[in-house]
Parts: sequence; C-alpha cells; structure tokens
Amino acid sequence: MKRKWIQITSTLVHNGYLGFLLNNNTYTGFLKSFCAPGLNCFSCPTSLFACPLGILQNLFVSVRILPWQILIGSFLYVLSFFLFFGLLLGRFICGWLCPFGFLQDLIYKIPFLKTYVNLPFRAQSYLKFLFLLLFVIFLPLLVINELGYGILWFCKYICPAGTIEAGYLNLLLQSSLFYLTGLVFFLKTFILILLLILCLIDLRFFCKNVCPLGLIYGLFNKVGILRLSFDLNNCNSCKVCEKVCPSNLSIPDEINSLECIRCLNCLKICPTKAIKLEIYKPYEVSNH
Amino acid sequence: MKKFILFLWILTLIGFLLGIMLGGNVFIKERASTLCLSCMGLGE
Repeated sequence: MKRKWIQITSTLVHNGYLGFLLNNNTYTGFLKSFCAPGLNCFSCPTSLFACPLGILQNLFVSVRILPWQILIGSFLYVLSFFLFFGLLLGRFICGWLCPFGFLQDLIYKIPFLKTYVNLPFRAQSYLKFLFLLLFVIFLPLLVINELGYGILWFCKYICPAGTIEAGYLNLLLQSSLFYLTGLVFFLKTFILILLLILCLIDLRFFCKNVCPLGLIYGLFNKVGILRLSFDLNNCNSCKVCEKVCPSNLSIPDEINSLECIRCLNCLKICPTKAIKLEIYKPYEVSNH
Repeated sequence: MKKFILFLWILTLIGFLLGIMLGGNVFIKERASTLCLSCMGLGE
C-alpha cells in the first residue's frame, strides 16, 4: 500500500472528531485518555487523542502539586505509551503515521529551491537533543510561577503543530479568543513560517533537526520489532539508496540510526534488494 | 542487550497497568481535554 494513503488515514484517525462543528469545543471523551503516536496537538478541535509530548510536559510542570500516587501513575502511564510505540514501530511513526510529518511531505512537493540545509556550528547533530532536554524536560520542570506551576515551554514557544492545529483553528472557531493574541502568538507564527519555509527547501527539516518526539522514537530504532537489515552480499555499491534518503544517512552503517525516519525510500529503490524490512522477536538484537 | 529489550517490554506492560491503577489515565484525560492556551500560543 502506498505510504501516502497510510499517512492520510493516520491523519484522519488522529483528527477524527467532527463534533466541534456542532458545539465549537474540543473532544473530551474516553479516547483522550490515550496518547497518539504522532505529533498532533490535543487542543486541536478535531483531535481525538492526547499528544505524548504535550502530556509529558504537563507532567513535568505539575510535579510539585500532584499527589505522589497520581504523579507516579501518570509517569508510568505516559512512559508505557512511549515504550510501546517506540518498541513496536520506532520512527516508522515519523515516516508513516505522524500528521505533521505528512504535512512536511506535502509542503516539500511544492516546486521551489531544494537543497540540504546546513545549520551553523554543526547544530544538526545536537539541536533536537537541546529541544528535548531544555524545552521539554528541564525548563518545564525547573522554572515555576508563584502557584508552583511550570510552563509548557516547547508547546508554548516552539511547537508548529500546536500553532496550526490549536492556535489558528481555535481562533477561527472562537473569535472571542482573539483578545488573547499577543507577542507569544506572533513569535510562534514566525517560528511556524520559518520552519515551513525550511521544510519546503529541505525535506523533513523539522523531523531531522527539531522534533523531540522523533528523537525519543529514534532511540528505539535499534531495538524495536520493525528494523531494517542490510545484505552486503547483494549490494552492488551503486549508492542510490543514499541519494534518496531524506536524512542523508550513510548506508549500511546508519541504517538503524536514530536519524532514520523509516520512509523506506532506500528499500524501494534498491535494485538488488539488499535492504530488507524485518520483523524481529522482542528480544532479538540486530547487527546494524 | 536481549535482557534489556525484554525488560523494556515488561516495563511497558507493568507501566500501563500500574498507571491505570494509580489513576494516571485520569490525569492524562483531564489535561488532554482542557483547551491549552500555551499550545495555542495565546495569553501573556
């Protein structure tokens, strides 16, 4: 089945709530107890599930005020979703299921200058670690207001999915929210536009350089059930696989690296079928 | 490494069940159902 159709289906499943057309409100039902695999803001009027990154930050900002059993329970519950999605699919979620990844694929189809964007100070090697550690974990955990609450730093100042899905869609539905727009909203809009332009030039720029969720799933690429394997005997060293890789990976050395978004372009284009998608047993270890 | 991967799978299952028993799912549902001004970039 074509990847595009799975991405469309996944986007519709992530955003399957149509009740907002009747009452202008977000979904508040049973499914909101579950985290979605992809980056999809839970404040989006159509969203059916919780955003794992948003919930993780909510947990960190509430550390000082939650009763210990709720805190431990919530942490274990959220952790189980990260582990389950990571161990089962890893970054297949980025390549095949994430609604924001799909949006980036669509944007890249627009004819424009296409090149690999090199960030200064070799930032592409550590930028997303910085976003995860600083904006998702440490700042929400450590910077608190007078009530003991922290701020959802990544959601509030960076997340482009939230700006589109929650910000603009809710503003369209509830004009009374307009009076709350201010400097932060314009900053987020600026970041959104900047990221969209970079995604227009460089395929999946956000996934490669910014997304903390992709980074977390990437940690499971070597231990997940679905992994890529490489048969050196079949390879004719044409390197066509490296040319189609959106993450510019060196194959086979980095075939299961945390940067691989599992688009499977390499597997499809390989003329000698040296790259294979394999289902590993939960305890199996691969060579690559 | 094998044992570590198995440990992660067991932790997934135990985390999910213990999380529900301790009311973690209620917290997630409550937060995810609230309109988040931070996510929208509104306020301040």
